[in-house]
Amino acid sequence: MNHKELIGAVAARLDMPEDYVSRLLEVAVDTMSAQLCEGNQVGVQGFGTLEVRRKEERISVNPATQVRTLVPPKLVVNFKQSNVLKDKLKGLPHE
Amino acid sequence: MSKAKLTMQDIVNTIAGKAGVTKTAAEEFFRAWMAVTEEVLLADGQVKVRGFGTFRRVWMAPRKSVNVQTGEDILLDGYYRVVFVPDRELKERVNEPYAHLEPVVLDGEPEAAQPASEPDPLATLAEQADEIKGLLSEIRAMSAAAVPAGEVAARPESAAPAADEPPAPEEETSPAEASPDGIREEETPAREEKASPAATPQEEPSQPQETPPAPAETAPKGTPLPPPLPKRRTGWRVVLGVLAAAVVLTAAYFGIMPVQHWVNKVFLGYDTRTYDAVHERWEARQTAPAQSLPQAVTPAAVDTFRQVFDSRFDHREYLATERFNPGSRLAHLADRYYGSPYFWVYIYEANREAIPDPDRVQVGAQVRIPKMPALLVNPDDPRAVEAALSLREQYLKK
Repeated sequence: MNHKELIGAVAARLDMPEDYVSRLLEVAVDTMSAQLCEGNQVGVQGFGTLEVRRKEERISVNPATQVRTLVPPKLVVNFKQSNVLKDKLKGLPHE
Repeated sequence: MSKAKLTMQDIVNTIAGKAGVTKTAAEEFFRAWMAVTEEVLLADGQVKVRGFGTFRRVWMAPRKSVNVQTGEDILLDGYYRVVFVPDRELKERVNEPYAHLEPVVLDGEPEAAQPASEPDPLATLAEQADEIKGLLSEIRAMSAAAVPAGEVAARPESAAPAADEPPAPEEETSPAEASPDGIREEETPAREEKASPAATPQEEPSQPQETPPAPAETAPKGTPLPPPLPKRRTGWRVVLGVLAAAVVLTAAYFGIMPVQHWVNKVFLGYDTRTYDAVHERWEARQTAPAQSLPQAVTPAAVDTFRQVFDSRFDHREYLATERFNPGSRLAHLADRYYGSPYFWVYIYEANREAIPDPDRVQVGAQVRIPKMPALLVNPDDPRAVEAALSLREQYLKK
């Protein structure tokens, strides 16, 4: 489901015009991104938590050429699903 | 960096404020968004939000494990997990504080580090080897001289070459490149020369006096020497032992070096600043041996580069004036204006009176960015980088 389809689905559920949903979604994304950038955790009950984690610098070695590279530290977004969601997914069969 | 935990409510309140809708409406929207996302995820799919990222589920295959109580194998069921893959936009936004950092190729670093520090111990080892060779030839000369003197002396003569055998392989294991054959050839004339003046047995007592100039490790040998011939063998054993210990210690020293280096790197790189420091420390190691290289590069090019480098203060124009904000770094500014963090030294040079210490620039300081000759701030030119790094050395040492 892409961005447009998501807006359509949410609009249908709320019974609201799509441009309204689109605007809210944009604001929501911006808000959450800003909070994540400040290092805050954003948790949604029953869904999961988004947080920023620091990956330490490390030395990676190219196995083919043995060239060693110092990879700088970085900040990455991490999502941890909630137990509720985990349990819901548990019963799903794998096709 | 604060580490607050925000709930949906906090987000919803902010959304309501920003979008100008009621909190209820914002909350309804947010819940609907999450509900739709969840539904889609449960019904095999992924949800993509532009500018944010993609929620998708991945199948974790069943895997074998062991029941720790009973020790029997069990099969863990496979399951789905929701993962979030951030969009490039979000990724870059979050990683902004570290965005200026780039991977550094450490290629050849271990090789570069060793030649830098190796010559010293090597030289002393080679010196020691030479001195021992000299001593050996003297001893041989002495014993050769002693042969006509009597049968008793002939015994040690055969003993001396035997004792001579071990040191040669010893020197081979040490990185000294002298081949045993070379040693022999050098020794034979020396021995013959020694043999003729040493023909008088009077020479013999004078030999021990000559041994003290040997390095400190061989000192113990000086004492066993004066007593007559049989003791000499044990003396040589002491010398060999000391030499072996020296070789082992050197090996241990070089074995530890990379480990220490690695520890420094891994445990000190705790924030941007230390990363820079680590990086710079590494760069310093790199440049130390490379310092002599510019002479090797085409002299004419170096000359013009030197000229430009030396005349960099002559005409000063400024690209801009930046206010130093909390979190700003000279390296960041250099990266922004010159395309590489190495060239912060030039900014520092242009602001010496405003920046007493390049590591701690006063927040709020007005930093002028000088217009530099392109030759000096070309990140692809190793000479430019080298020049900047040597300046850095100079300024950080103070």
